[in-house]
Amino acid sequence: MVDPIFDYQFRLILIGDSTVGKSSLLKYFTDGKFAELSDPTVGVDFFARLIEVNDGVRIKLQLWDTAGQEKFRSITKSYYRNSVGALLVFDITNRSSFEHIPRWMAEAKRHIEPHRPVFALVGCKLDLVQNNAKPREIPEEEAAQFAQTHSIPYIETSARTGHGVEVAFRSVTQEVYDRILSGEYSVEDGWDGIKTGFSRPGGIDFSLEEAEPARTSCC
Amino acid sequence: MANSESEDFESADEEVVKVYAGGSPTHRPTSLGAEEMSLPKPSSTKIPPTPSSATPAAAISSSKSFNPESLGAKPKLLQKSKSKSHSKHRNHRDTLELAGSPPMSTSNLNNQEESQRRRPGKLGVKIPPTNILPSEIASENNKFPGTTKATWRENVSETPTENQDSHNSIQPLLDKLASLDVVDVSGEVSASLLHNSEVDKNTWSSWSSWMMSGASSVTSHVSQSLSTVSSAIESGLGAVDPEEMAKLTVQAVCGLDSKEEVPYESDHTSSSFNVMGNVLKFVESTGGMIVSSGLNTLESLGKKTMDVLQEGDPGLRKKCAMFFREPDKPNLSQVLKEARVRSEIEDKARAKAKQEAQIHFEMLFDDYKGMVHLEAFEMLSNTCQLKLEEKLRILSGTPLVEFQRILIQIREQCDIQEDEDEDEEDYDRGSVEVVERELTTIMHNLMVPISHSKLIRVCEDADAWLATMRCAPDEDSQNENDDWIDEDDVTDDVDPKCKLQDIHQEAIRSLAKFTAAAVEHFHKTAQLVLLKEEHNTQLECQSVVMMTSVICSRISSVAARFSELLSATANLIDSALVDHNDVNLHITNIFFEASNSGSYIQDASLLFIPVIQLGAVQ
Repeated sequence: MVDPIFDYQFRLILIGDSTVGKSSLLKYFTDGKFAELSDPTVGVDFFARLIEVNDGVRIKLQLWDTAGQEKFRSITKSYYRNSVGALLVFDITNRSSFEHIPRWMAEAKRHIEPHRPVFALVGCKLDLVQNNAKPREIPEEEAAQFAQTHSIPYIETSARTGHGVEVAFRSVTQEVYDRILSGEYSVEDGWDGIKTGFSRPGGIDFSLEEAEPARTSCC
Repeated sequence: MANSESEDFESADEEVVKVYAGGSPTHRPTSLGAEEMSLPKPSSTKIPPTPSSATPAAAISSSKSFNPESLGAKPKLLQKSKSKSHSKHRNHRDTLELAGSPPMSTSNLNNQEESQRRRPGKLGVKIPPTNILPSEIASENNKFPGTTKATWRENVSETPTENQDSHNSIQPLLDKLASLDVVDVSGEVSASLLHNSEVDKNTWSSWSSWMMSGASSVTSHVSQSLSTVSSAIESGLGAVDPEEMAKLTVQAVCGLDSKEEVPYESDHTSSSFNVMGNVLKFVESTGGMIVSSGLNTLESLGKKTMDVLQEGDPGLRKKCAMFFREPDKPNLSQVLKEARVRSEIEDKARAKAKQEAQIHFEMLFDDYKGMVHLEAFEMLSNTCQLKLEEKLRILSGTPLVEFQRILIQIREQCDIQEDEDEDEEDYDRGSVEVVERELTTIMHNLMVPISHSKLIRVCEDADAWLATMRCAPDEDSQNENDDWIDEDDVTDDVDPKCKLQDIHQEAIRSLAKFTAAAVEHFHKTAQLVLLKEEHNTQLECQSVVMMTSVICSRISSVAARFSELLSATANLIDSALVDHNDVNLHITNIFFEASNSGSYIQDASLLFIPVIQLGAVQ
């Protein structure tokens, strides 16, 4: 159960081909566990975790785990809109999953508009490569190069060992928070990408105070 | 070397004698005789009992000096000897040495040097002038020549460079002064000797003077050794090294011995005196031994005491600490107790606040992901609605009318039947078995690949909790028949409230959990229905209505059962201890949240309509 006291709620969405390990990544991030076997996600599933950004502000991450299966593609499109960040997940032992990343990225951009989402490129199943259980199909340099051209971070992870999992989510969270501080993002009616925590007294006022001047200076 | 030195001694002795003789002609024969007596025994041992070597100077001073000023003259002599240090020839130095320590000169020269070195040390711990009796002064005078020379000699040997620079320039002058000083002293001595000349004539008087000096030497030694030891003990505070202690004692005894000889020498003419001397000597040495042994005992006692103190110190400290804390203890513990009580109250308040937050239906519903599923479902439904509107825009004429008719029909099918089912609901429809059976049928009809096992599991959990709680009140009622209520009023007061709260909390949680699971189920089903290739709109509508009905029945059933349990528990508990307003409030709250929960389900079912509509028109 997530501690009800938090300053902001960010909605992040995980997208990527099926069986790249989105659900496992989230399971590790929220439960610290790795499930050897997991059913394919039906439509969308939800996870939540509290995380603290650098200045100690508590962020509740509402994580939308979308189904990667092609048949759900039409449905999952519906869920993009209210996300502030998107993790582009691929399997480093599966080249096609990496090659679909631009598609996923474009889709997310289109559906999250007018908001500019925070992206992160996440390569999963690092443990398989390290164990030599499966050959690596995407060299780290290649993925890093792709991430660099889009000015997004690239993190290699393993939901089995937990390697890089925290870093991946933390980098996105910090970036979203930094954009709030810079005034690019703000709490808006009719958009649930960023919400203020409802349990802390005065939380809304505080956030509005912080967001309002930034917005005016921006416009 | 020893021979040459002894030769030097002889000549030196003559010189000294001359110096003294010049000052006191009346004493010259006596002192000379003493000198003669000492001189033939250069090789004799320094064993105390043998009436051997005594200096003429010592003899003179012992017989004459009741001069209190002699003490005052001591520093003068020391100064003088310092000033003389370099100009004086070796012969003179040796003379003084010989004169000061004849017993040593007769024996080993090394010993002599040692004892001389030791002597100034002894002087260092001498009793302060105020404590010195006239009789003691006499004995002090005995040592005078010796000590003076020893000091001087030491100064010569130990600090030549130190003195050199300062004294070289004024050396001649100082030499003169020194010689004058010596003359002065000898003058004093001669004066005192003159004073004693009459006494000297009388053997009794000499005897008495001898007795006096002997006794005084004993006293002085005792006091000396006492002061030495005591100062040593004082300075060491129980940490005096036993060896050092022994040394000091030996020193004292040595000093005693050396002075002891003085009376013998001066009265060597009388054999009875010798006997007396021996006796006295024995007494003295015995006394010294007693004193020293006594001091040893004292010292060991002191040491032991210190040891015991040091050994027992940690324990003692602990005890002391304990004793000192004792009065503070109740205060401290009270303070701690108060702090604990305060923190407990705060914790309770915090826990209560947290509990209230936890039993807040919306929050629980959110935590169980019901809210987000509903939100997502809404998004999905909105997407479907948008698609329908798009289709509607394209259509026109008869197809549009037909299309609209279908949409309205579906809407009606979903709404009306639902309301009818609500009216029909009864208690049995909420049981897990019925819910499971009906859901299985619905899912089978819908032909969507999704399990409703999660929903069933939630139902079973709630039923299991209710089952355990229903057993608990029976135990309580049995207990109530006993007389424990009278004894444990306080616990009884707390317990039922907690129990009621627990039931209320669990009711809300169960409702939230089930509603969330139901919404999730609706959402997933809708997704899968949307993805279906072929649609049986009629069946879909029926299924949604049935599903809504079953779930709402279940919610009502759960609310009713929890409320029942709550009132039953409240009735079983003594009415005085239960605020029935609270119980009613809890029951009302449960039904309120149940209706809230039902409205969520109805919302979900309404969200289903565009999905079905979209499927129908595709």
